[in-house]
Amino acid sequence: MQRLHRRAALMAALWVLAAAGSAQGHEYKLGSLVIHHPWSAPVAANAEVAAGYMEIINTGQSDDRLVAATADISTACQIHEMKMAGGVMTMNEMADGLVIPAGGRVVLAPGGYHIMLMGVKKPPPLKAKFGGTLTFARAGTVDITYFVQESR
Amino acid sequence: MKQKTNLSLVLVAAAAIIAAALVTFGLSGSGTSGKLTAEFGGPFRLASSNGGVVDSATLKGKPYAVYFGFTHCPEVCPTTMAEMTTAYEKLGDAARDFQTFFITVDPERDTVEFLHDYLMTYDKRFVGLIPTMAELPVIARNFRAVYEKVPTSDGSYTMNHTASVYLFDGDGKLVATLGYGEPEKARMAKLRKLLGVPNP
Repeated sequence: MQRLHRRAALMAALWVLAAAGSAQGHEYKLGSLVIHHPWSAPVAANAEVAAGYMEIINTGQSDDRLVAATADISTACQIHEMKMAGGVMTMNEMADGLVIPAGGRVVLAPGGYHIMLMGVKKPPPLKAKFGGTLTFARAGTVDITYFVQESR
Repeated sequence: MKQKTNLSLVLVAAAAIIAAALVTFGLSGSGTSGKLTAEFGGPFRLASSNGGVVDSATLKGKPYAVYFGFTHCPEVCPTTMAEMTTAYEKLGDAARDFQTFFITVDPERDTVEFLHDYLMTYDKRFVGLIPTMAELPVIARNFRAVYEKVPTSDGSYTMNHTASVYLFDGDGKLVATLGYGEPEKARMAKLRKLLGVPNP
């Protein structure tokens, strides 16, 4: 009887964990890096650029650096930092890549860092998915899938 | 090179602060000190993404919005267009004649046809204005907007630019701005006030 209860409690706990996981999105592991829920916002039908977002967590003891990215829908990708100051948006290409500090996390999100997808021929619609890769200086390259979803 | 970029960013930031101060000054002044406010933005006459031109003189009696952007903008412009589209849906009939003018800071790439197709993805009340390279610095100055071309490693370029939406009343007077990332509630309140719709 007690064992049954314990089993039920365990099942419930697992179910809660699974539900929480799916609500928060998909993720990829690469060495000590965790890439959490890559996504992209829908853009105009003839737009030639889009942006990729995600969260990158470094569980390791050494800093790593996101140095390159590719996406199926674009001819080129760059790592950019967007800043707002006094109502002016400035965008800088991060030529040396984006540092993912040891034991830290970096969020790529609207208003900050993003992967700029350039040369987009056919922007994917809402709820579509598209593939891509991320390359890190230490951890190497990983295949990811972007989910196209509303920004907020 | 790095230093040069930093310097130009400082210049952009300084210009932005001055622009913000001018906006604040223009808005905070009482009705009688409205000279600066009255001159803000207009008059203008620019090529339209719908063909022909848009002359600000024809906008008398109609509130409108103005935004500076470019179609090769990965984030701020699509986000702003999406937010304004949502606002249009929420405002309903009250915004039937309320136009948003998207003035491109990248006339080299944003042709009449391209800008038209881009904006029509969102809403037919978005009208693109395409200044010539000679008109661009003048119109930007009139709106206290800044823009800057930034080369990228692939030989292409991106644009830094003022990202606020300016709201003008039926007299062509600047009455408010919508900042990037401003909460939706504040944005809707300003738009409803502009259009004379009660805020629920």
